[in-house]
Order: sequence, then C-alpha cells, then structure tokens
Amino acid sequence: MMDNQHEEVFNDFTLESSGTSGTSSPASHSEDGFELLPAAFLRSTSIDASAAATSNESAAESLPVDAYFASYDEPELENVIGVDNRVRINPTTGYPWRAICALRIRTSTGNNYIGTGWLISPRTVITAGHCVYMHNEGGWAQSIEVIPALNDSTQPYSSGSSSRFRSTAGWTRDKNRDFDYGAIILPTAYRPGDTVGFFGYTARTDADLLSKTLNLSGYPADKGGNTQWFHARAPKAVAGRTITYDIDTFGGQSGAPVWILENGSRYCVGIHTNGHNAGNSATRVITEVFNNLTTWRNLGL
Amino acid sequence: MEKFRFINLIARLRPLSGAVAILCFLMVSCAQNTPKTVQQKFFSIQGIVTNQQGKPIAGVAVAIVEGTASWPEIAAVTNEKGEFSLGNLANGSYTVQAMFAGNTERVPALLKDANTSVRLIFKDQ
Repeated sequence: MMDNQHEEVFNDFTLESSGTSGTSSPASHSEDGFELLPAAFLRSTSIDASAAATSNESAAESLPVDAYFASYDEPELENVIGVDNRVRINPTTGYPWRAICALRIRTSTGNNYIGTGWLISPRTVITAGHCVYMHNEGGWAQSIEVIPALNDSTQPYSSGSSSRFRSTAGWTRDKNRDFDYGAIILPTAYRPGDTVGFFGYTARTDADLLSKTLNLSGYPADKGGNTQWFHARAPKAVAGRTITYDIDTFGGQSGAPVWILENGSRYCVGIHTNGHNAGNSATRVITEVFNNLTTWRNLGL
Repeated sequence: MEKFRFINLIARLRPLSGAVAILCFLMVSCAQNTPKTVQQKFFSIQGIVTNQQGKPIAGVAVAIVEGTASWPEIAAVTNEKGEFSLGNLANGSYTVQAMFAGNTERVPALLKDANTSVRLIFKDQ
C-alpha cells in the first residue's frame, strides 16, 4: 500500500559534530562478562543484544518482567496510572540498565530539556524524534549530552555530547506522532556501547506483542531526572504504528526503550514518546522503523 | 415557438436524467471519500516559574501530568528568566507540573487553536 506521508524517508539533514566532545571509558568488557556482539549479528527481523543476567535481576528470568522490585509509597499522578508502581534501578551498572541513558538536551534557541535514550551500537543512541527535533524550539537540537546509567551524581560511564542527529521526515516535516523517533550519533572519541553493551530491537506481530510483558525504564523528571526508574506491564493495545500501555511514566522518559525479555535476550519493540490519561504510548518498531534503526546503528559502529 | 423548442430539449434530455443524477452522486461521494492530508495543528504551553516575590526560578523541571489529548513526555527545564515551553500539543486541557527542591506546583492550561501561557508560583518554604 502506498503511504506517502508514511514513507519512512530517512531524513538526512545532519548537524555535524563540530561541537562534539566526550570521553570514553577504557574498558571494552563490562564487569559481569558481557560479550560484545559481532557486527554481523543482524538477523532478518530482529537484532539480539543478549547478555548475561546480572545478579540483581536474576529473578527476572523466571518472571515475565525485567527487574527486581521494592516497596515504597508515592503520590498518585495521572500519567502514573493508578498507584505509582515505578521501581528505582540502583545500582544502574548492570545490564540492561547501563545501556539506558539520561539525555540533557539543549535546543538551538538555548533552552534545556530532559529525555531518555538507549544504545543500539557503540555510538548510536535511539530516542524520541521530539528529543532531537523540536518544532517549537527551532528544529534540530543544538547539542545533547548522553549519560549512560546516570545514578544521582554518579556517571559510571562518563558522558558524551553530540550535535549529530537523525529522525524521519514524518516527524520533522509532518509532525506526525507515528514517526516520532530519532537517533543521536556520538562522536568517535566516545563509544559507551563498547563498555555497557546495547539493546537489540525487533518488529513483531500484533498477536506476539499482545502476548508479551513490556518493560520500560528511563529518567523521569518528577524523580529529579537523575535516577533511573522501571515499570513493566502487558500492552493495553497495539496499532499499526503505536503501542499503548498502562506502564507508569513521567516527563523526562521520552525516548526510553520499551522492550521484551525473551530467552534471556532483550529486544526493543518501541520507543516511549507520549503520555495520556487513557494510556501512555510508544512509537512501535515495525519493519520500516527497524530498517531506519539499522541504518542509524551502522553510523555508530 | 421558443417555448416549444425548450420543451423539446427537455424531452430529449429526459432519458439522460438518470445518468446525470448518478454522475452527480458519484462526484459528491468521491469528494467526500478523497483522502485529505489534513495536518494536525499543534500548539505550545509557555510559562514562567517564580517565587512568591515574582523572582524567576531557573533550573526547574516542568512537565505535563494530565491532559485530554496525548502529550510528548519530555520535561522542560526553566532558563535564567524562569521561562519554559512545552510544544507539539493538540487542542485540549492539560495540567502542568513544576518540580523544584522537593516541592511541586500544578496549574491548568487550555489550548484552543493558539498557544497559551501559564505561571507557576512556588511558595516560600
């Protein structure tokens, strides 16, 4: 079916990294033996960034969710659906938490925002399109600082800034929520994925998605924006280009990974973008999204 | 004579009247079913965060927590003038929340075909 607005045009407008800076961690392997994936690990419909489960999530292997739990009291918020069930991830240095990054976004107009992203290759961070391109702030961001596994004031894998972004014409030109996703390509001097690993991603059928538990973790501003918070639930609905769920989220979690855990491997199936009283939602990874992510992944190898 | 010519013309066209009606119906129907590339309009909630004396507060995280339409889950951070902007919002009513030093303030905002402005005031502790 022709789908002109929906043609997944790869928007090649790029702000080159003239202002990039960054520092890289020296370790090529993580402390828990995560093995780097070969460049040729691409499968036809999914990319598997499997990793050994860390001790703090070992119980998750037998549960349908991807974290350990704690009990706490929180005020009730609207996009936190019902009781707030978010769990703080602490420490953040286990996989997959360390592959999730706090974003500090500076717009071309000089204003600042908080978002979330996740690594899919040594230097490629996936996030929401509205984190890299803001129509109300002059378009492409001026720069974004990427902080993997930020935990309060601790930056266990340092941080890197970039001014090199990618998104889709469906978002930058048409403001279409269905195409709200993008990428940050980090400078060559900063390769956090070599150390922390990265997520896989996959395009799945409606029935498959509806049978899974979705996991989501990011950096909500109501918790200060410096700590990582997780929640998991079954999807509420699946549409052609979106997935809706009652996972508790808050501003600052735009761009967070929505993933499934399958045989010990994590596959992202969506990019969290929107809050709504009736259900929060992600841009769904479908074949066209998958192909763009793969193109962008290759830019950060 | 002219009158008879007109009547004659009507009589000759009568067999075509059904076809003309069908043609008109199809034209109207097609016009209604033609896909329209109507781009949804988006607006912004702009605002300022101050203390009770009206002094701007910089570095305050601001986000939407409730709305009749969906909203991007990005959080704005106020600049040195205490200003922020939350964009890509459709018409609807929203609740904006600011978070600063462990305190929160909320204010309603209504978007109806235009941007709107709000003010959040943190009470002195």
